[in-house]
Amino acid sequence: MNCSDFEDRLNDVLDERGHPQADPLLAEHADECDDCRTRLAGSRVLLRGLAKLSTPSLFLPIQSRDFAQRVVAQVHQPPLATAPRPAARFWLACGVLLSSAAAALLAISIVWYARRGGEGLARGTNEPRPELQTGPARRLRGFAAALPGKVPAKASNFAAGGDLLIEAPRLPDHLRGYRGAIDQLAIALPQTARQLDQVEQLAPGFRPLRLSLEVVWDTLCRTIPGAHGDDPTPPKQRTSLHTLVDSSIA
Amino acid sequence: MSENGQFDLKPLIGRCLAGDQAAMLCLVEHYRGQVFGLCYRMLGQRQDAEDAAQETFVRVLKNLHRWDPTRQFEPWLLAIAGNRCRTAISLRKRRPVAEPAVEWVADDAPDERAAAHLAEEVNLALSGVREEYRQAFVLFHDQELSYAEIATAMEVPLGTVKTWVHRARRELIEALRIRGAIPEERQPVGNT
Repeated sequence: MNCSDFEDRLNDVLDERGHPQADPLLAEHADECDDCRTRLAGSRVLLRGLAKLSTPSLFLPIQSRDFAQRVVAQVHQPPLATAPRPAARFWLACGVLLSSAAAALLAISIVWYARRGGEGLARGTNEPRPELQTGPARRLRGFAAALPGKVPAKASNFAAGGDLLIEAPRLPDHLRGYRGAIDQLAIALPQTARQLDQVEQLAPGFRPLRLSLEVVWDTLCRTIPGAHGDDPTPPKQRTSLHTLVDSSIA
Repeated sequence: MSENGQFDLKPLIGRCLAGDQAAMLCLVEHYRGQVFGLCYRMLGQRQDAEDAAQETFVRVLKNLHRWDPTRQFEPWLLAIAGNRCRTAISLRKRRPVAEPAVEWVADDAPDERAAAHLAEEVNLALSGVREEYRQAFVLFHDQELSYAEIATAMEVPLGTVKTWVHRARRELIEALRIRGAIPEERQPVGNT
């Protein structure tokens, strides 16, 4: 028997809840090997120590007679009031859902524009470009334009009701196709911005996602033909997106 | 208890499920030593063990409807106790705590003192073993569950349980050797 066989045999005996000292094969090898002799003695000490741990004098049962009564009383306790944590999770879930929807809408709009608007630009015609302009509210970067609380008084005149204000003589023909997308975006964005703001207060880690969406939104606004956000020219006519689209169709 | 003195578990659990508080008290009284024993071995401190045992029974009684009557009750109960102990250990790691010590009754007899000292050494060695190994070892050697029952309780394959128990034994013996708890055994006469 070698040392590996000895250890296997020792474990087998202990697995059978036997006494290793009484096993002749183990004793025979232990007589020849110092390490295994120590291991055999160690197993005996370990079992003795475990047995002593289990003695009632050392291991007193739970003294308190009312232990079971405490348990039963706790079982019948009404559940505690809901902690604020689930609320935070709810808002986080809402925020993620809404921001995902907004991001999807933005992506659709960009792709749509790239297909429709890109053709006109590629033609390089000299005909006057239809203007899709924005008011001073557009000069605000990112979601600030959509958050009533963050919009300065001057700018908030143009962002009544959280609607995105776009000023233009008429909506260009090639933009009519994505009226629905812009409509939905104009409705969803202010709500999303508010939700994101609340979520960010609860979960600061949400900030990078909000900033990314801001960048996307800003990029989209810059790429709309005629959307000169920094143009200081006072607008001739201001109208909400719905009115704008309706009048252009008419 | 039944007429032959055996503990009738299923009717008792049925009464517990019906909301009978006397049955709940009976169930807790019957298993509290076993659960407390495991918690004490796992945590090494009386107060922590009592807290863990209490949490275990609360959880068991609240989730009694989830117990599958076709399976054994004890492994299920001890699995919950083991999970509570692991949670307690992970919480303990976040806050400083005194070294685990065996609470033993003072005894002037030298043999008893030696035995208590040995028990303390074993308990200290146990506290240094990995949680999974410790739980498997305690369930096998202290609670005397079979490997199959431990595998059920810990939701791991039987072979894994065996490996864990064997490793725990090896580590415990090594820890006892390092701390000088294993007496030197002289080489038998005749061997060189």
